[in-house]
Amino acid sequence: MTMQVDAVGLRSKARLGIRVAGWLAVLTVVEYFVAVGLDSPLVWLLPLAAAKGWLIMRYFMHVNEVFEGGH
Amino acid sequence: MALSAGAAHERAEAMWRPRANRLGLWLFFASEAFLFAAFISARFVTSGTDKPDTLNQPLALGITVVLLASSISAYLAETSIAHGDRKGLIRYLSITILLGLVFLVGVVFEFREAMEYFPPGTIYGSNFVALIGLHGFHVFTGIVALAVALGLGKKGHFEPDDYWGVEGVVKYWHFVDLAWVIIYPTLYLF
Repeated sequence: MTMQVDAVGLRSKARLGIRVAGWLAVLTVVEYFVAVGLDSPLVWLLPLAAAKGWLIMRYFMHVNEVFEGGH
Repeated sequence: MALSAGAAHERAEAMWRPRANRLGLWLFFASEAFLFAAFISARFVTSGTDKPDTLNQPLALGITVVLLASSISAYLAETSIAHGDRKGLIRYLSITILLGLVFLVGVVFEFREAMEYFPPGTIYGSNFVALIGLHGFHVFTGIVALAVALGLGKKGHFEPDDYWGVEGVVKYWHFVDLAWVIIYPTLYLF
């Protein structure tokens, strides 16, 4: 059986995912340069890692769906 | 028209099953998070924020980017089947598996360098090998799970309203990525 492709919805979700991936890439590069550029980078790296973790949980893992029903 | 008892049960199950599946998976992630937290805290307890100068920073940054890229392809695989695009599911799952394998090759190089510069007999070396090994094994099992989902997808399994097999595997892959987001600065940057 052939499935009906929802191209508009797919494009919209794909754009969102790519935007989030862009932010993750930017934060990773910032994290790297903070780490190699500062003597004690801990205080800067913690919020950066937390921000990346939140982006992954919110947009890729859809943590909010745990509290909702259905897809 | 009144529903038969079986049909009513199926309808009720269709309502709560996705939510129960997700809750179960997130409880599993919580238990996994405790495991990773134990290893990560052991690194700081035993060696503080000290790290060897011989760490291969470009390699670590490279495999981090590869794993993040695999997360977006996994996301696109799930999004594809959710919107009825089976070809997209197969394409993006294949890319995710390929990127996962590239990550594992990078881990092998990391291990080789670790054995040379900070072997498991040293405090940092034992933490490094334990954390990278634990995470690498999760990547390996994730690749196996993705390969199973890919095989099922190729055989025509999964529909836009029934793709838990893909969703669960992809969420696990994102969890592996999330763990690396913490492990990477823990071992290489702090």
